[in-house]
Amino acid sequence: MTATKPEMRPTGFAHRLARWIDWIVVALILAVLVVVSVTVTGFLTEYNISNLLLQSSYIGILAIGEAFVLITGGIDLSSPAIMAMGAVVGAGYIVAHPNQLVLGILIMVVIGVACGIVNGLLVAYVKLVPFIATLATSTLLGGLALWITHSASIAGLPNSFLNLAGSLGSIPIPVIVFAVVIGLSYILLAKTVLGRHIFYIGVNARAARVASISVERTQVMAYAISGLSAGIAAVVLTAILGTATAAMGQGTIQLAIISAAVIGGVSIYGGVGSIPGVVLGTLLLTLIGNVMSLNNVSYFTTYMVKGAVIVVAVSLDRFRRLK
Amino acid sequence: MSGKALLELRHISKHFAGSQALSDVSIELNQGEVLGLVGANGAGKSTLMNVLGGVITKDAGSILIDGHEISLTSPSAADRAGIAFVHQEPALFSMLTVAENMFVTDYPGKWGWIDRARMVEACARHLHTVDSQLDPNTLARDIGIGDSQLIEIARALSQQARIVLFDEPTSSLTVHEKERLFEIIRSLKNSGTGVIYISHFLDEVLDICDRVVVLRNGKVVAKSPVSEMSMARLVEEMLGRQLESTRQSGRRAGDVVLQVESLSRGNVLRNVSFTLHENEVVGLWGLLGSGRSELFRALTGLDPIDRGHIRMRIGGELRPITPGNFLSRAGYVTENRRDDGLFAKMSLRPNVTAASLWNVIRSRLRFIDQAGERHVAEEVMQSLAIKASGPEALAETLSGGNQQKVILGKWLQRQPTVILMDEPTRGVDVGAKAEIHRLIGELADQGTSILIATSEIEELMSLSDRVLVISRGHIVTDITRDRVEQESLMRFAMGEA
Ligand SMILES: Nc1ncnc2c1ncn2[C@@H]1O[C@H](COP(=O)(O)OP(=O)(O)OP(=O)(O)O)[C@@H](O)[C@H]1O
Ligand SMILES: [Mg+2]
Repeated sequence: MTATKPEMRPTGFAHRLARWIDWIVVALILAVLVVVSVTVTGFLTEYNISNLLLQSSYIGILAIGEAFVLITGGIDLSSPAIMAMGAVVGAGYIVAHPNQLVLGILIMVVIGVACGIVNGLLVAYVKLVPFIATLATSTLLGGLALWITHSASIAGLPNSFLNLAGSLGSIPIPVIVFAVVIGLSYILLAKTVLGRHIFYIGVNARAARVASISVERTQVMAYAISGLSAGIAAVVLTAILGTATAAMGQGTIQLAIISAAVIGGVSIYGGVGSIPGVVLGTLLLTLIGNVMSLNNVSYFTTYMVKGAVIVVAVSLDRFRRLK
Repeated sequence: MSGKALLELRHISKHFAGSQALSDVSIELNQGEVLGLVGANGAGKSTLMNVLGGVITKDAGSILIDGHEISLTSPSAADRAGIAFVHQEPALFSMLTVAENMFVTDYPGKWGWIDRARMVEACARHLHTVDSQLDPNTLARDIGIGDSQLIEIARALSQQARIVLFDEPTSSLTVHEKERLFEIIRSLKNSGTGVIYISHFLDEVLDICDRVVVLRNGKVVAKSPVSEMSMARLVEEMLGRQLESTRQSGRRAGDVVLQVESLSRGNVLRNVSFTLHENEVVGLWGLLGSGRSELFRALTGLDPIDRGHIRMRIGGELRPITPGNFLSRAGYVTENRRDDGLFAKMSLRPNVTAASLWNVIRSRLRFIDQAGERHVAEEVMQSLAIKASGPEALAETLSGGNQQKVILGKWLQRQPTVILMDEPTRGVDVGAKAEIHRLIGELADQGTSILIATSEIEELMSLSDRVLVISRGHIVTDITRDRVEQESLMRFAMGEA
């Protein structure tokens, strides 16, 4: 029995508001956009916009991967660490073999998928709690990345690689990669059997098992997808930064990607979420960060605002469940 | 008249997105009266009880107790007003014990300390009133739905309320517990308590109620003393039509499709052996705790087994199969729809296709054909008469009986060779039940082998070609239907044979 006591079914104001919550997020983004572009000097410059999009791209790619795991009812706390790991190993390889660019990129992606699969196996078959399993792999990978790099950043990447952060026409390549990831993951989640299975196990794993859906295999796939997204993000972020360091996986990235997913309507309780939502959540979040840095908001205020945003996001999730 | 009524509901209305659940419902309940509330699935019975139990708020109308208007804005308000509520779906905290669940809103003790000994003792006493031998220290996740229902009943009775609402209290009980409950209701009545009793077992309603109110599509369509009510009229008022009888025609069983040998699991299942054939409906009969549901759970790998062999016909030949692989080739309607049946937070469409997604795959890339899927959902809705706003209605917003139909629809879509059904018509109204019986018969005619556990003797007799009687984890008899007599079934089940 996984029940709760008969819960109050709110039928008043809260209930009505809950129904509109997703539109409220969209409206909020638009409102912030309008206000900001009018009032904040330097917002509407080409430099800032492309900066904003670049930042959204890798946060968004990570958040999309996270969403797959969250929807199964799990959580992946290791994607930034996986990203850093892929980045330092791949970048190291490219620096050593500048003419084997494709292989280097492939290394980053494969490391991502492999680490994701390990997470998935730990959760699905060793039956570790997702929170613990991925926290452990995250710590392990973080240490490993520091050890490999001796805490130094890997510089000297060839221009052929750095060009990946350039533009195709007037659109930054990372943004194009982001768009492709959005498209493919949307199809995967909303249209395919795997995507459906991810929802089934998130909504009711026991019922899924009875319907002979392999809960374990689906979990492994979800963590592998999250790892894949971390691998792709490794390529993108390394190109943007021009270097790879173990520190790429530290700081507030982990919180940023979870809040982006949750603001975008993915439930941390599993079973609910969509890719367009995650994209919107990412945009709103990076927008807030961008505006604060343009206004020279202090370092610790930025932290406080980001913390507040997470509280709001998780409360929104709780709220949505009232629908 | 209105001054004397214990409870009076006046012009109650309730609207949900997509449906008018109650419109202008007026009902009165007197002291020492048992009022039957009947209606088809989705008629609004539970909604009305939820209003009375303070679980949902009404849109319009008033509620009076002893002639004074009261406001029921929360379950605790209903509690204070002297209303106890036995919910249709017993909901327990799985990681708490039976005793902790029973007192979850009101732990015995002082200054925030819980008096454990007193709690366990009181729990055992309350359980005793419903003749339950359950250990108060069992974890809720380890008990079946029948026992959950008994706990729910015991909890409500412990409140010593003036008004007790029973929403399908017997849907998971077997004969013995039912009899005990009816005794309790009669004594409540004698002590002046007012009782509202909801059930799809119309014979129970005619037996223990004084008056009956019929709801159809959220409206009261009939009110009458039971003495002036017949079964046939009750059905007609409920459904708005008469019910054709569905006696199953004789079938000829085919080859063996499932062979189970010496299946054992602790004391719960002891050397269970039986076979199932093609074109056959086999009834599994036993009391609560006899091992019925446990047999299903062991076969399907949901519970571990100590020993035993299962063989299934695969590609024309009987082959050994492990419990872990059982479900990939069979269907299983579980006893508890909420925990392992329904995808509550999903719409009806993915619910009915969950066990047969391959039927709606469009390309080699395993894309789901959404239009095809919607079409399947619409067909299921129609063939099982599911009352919902459409294929996109959230499963959790359907009434209990309609949720059960969704789960059945899910397995009917799959057309497995063997299908296990644990109380497949639990909470389903008489009209839909007849329809489901017809579908089960059709399925068997087409070759499917069906093992069906039911606590309803009429259902067992009208569906099964053969009956297995299980008692204390052991199959005690295996007889064909024409040799079944009701009394002997009872005797077998009690282990007296
Ligand atoms: N939370 C909800 N949201 C939307 N519709 C709802 C909700 N709860 C109930 N309904 C609808 O209200 C109607 C009445 O439901 P109710 O549960 O009262 O039926 P019922 O008479 O108890 O049926 P059953 O015999 O199947 O238990 C149904 O059509 C149901 O779909
Ligand atoms: Mg009901």
